[in-house]
Amino acid sequence: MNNTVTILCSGFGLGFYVPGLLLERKLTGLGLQAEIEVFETLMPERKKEQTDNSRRAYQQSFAVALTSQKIPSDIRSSLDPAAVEHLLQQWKQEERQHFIVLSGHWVHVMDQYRELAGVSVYADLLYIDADLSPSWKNLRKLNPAYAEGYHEVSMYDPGKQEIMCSIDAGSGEALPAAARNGRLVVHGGGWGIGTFREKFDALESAGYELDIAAYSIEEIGGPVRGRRYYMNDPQWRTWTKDDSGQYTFPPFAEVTGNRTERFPPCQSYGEGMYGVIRQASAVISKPGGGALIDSLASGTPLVLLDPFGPHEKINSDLWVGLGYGITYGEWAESGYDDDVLRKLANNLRAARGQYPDYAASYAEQLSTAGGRS
Amino acid sequence: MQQKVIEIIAEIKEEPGLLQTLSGASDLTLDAALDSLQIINFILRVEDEFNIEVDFDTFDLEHLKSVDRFSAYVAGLAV
Repeated sequence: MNNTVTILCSGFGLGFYVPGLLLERKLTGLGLQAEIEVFETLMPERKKEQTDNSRRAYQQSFAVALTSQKIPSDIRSSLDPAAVEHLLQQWKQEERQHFIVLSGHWVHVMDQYRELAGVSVYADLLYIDADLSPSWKNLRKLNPAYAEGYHEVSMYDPGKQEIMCSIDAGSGEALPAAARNGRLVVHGGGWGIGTFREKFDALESAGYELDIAAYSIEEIGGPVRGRRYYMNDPQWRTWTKDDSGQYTFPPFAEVTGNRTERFPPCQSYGEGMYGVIRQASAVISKPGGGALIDSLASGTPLVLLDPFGPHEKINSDLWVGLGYGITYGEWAESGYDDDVLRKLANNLRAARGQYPDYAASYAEQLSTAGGRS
Repeated sequence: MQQKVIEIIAEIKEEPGLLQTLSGASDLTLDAALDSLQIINFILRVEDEFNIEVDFDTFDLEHLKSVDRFSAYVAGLAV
């Protein structure tokens, strides 16, 4: 019997990695054993290099990023069979039974494990977007019945315009408007993609000071009054553990364009960009699943840029419908009104505690089931 | 259309020799050796060239198995 909860993340972007890390921290805090696995550890080096190349290409061209989502792929061709076999044997030996799956890529591996395990396997397929993201859509194309035998959990119900559950980001209560700094965070998600870089001038002309996520030192220009840049360590990869063998939040720092920047490790999510987000008046970003989690947890409204694919369009519509976000175009039409942001922030504050915490519910169910095994 | 598709592949690969070696039966990933990023750029060029939009729900990996199959898919979108 093994009650360790294995959380299966993908390191393509941060959106399917950070939520897994937050769940691991929360479950551990609730007294459960939890461990992360990152999909890219099952890929040969040359495939990981391709991931890096794709990231750079997507940063340089949003059109390229968007087109990538139109092309179906079979992720199984990117797997290292020996690495998969090693992991499956380890799980079997440890009799792993409890899994939370954040990326459709992992279901191919889980299907193999369920055949091999020799014990009952309980796996939640946790959808962190309001519609199927590419890994799930690709999986569905290969196997329309992929969810059979799994427990599907959607964080959102876009049809009913509801949030079904939330993920705790850990850094305490959302700050009230009066305790915030009035600045705007502008970012392009974990990969730095989208139209966010085009907005700096307009936002500053409207009188806002910006906290900008940079993705390479080269993109930091000369000093602009009121502007700050922040960056995750560009050498860090989601699939690399730290010296103590743990997966970590990205090392993070405010940067000035000096090439000798140092990026200290982040022990908690709040020591990274999330700590900047929770003090800001709003976040301007594409509507990724990670952006929604940050927004809800920190009580910081989203000004929504162009979505990265159809699933993010549904994320965007949901946040607008709930009164937690506004499209960039609509906000620009309001004259970049800060009152609009305050109202959205008030909506988020009013919703505090309204949405069940996924990890807490999971832990409770596990406990109720007596470990289920 | 087949010839234009081959021209775009040769352009993306920056290999003019492909104009002679590729045919309607050529596999886009095996014979033309388009990698994942090159396939994306290829699709972008094709969308521009034929004024069509490739869609995840209708596009399939099978369409990359030959220039002819890909051309037929594009022709279907252009109708």
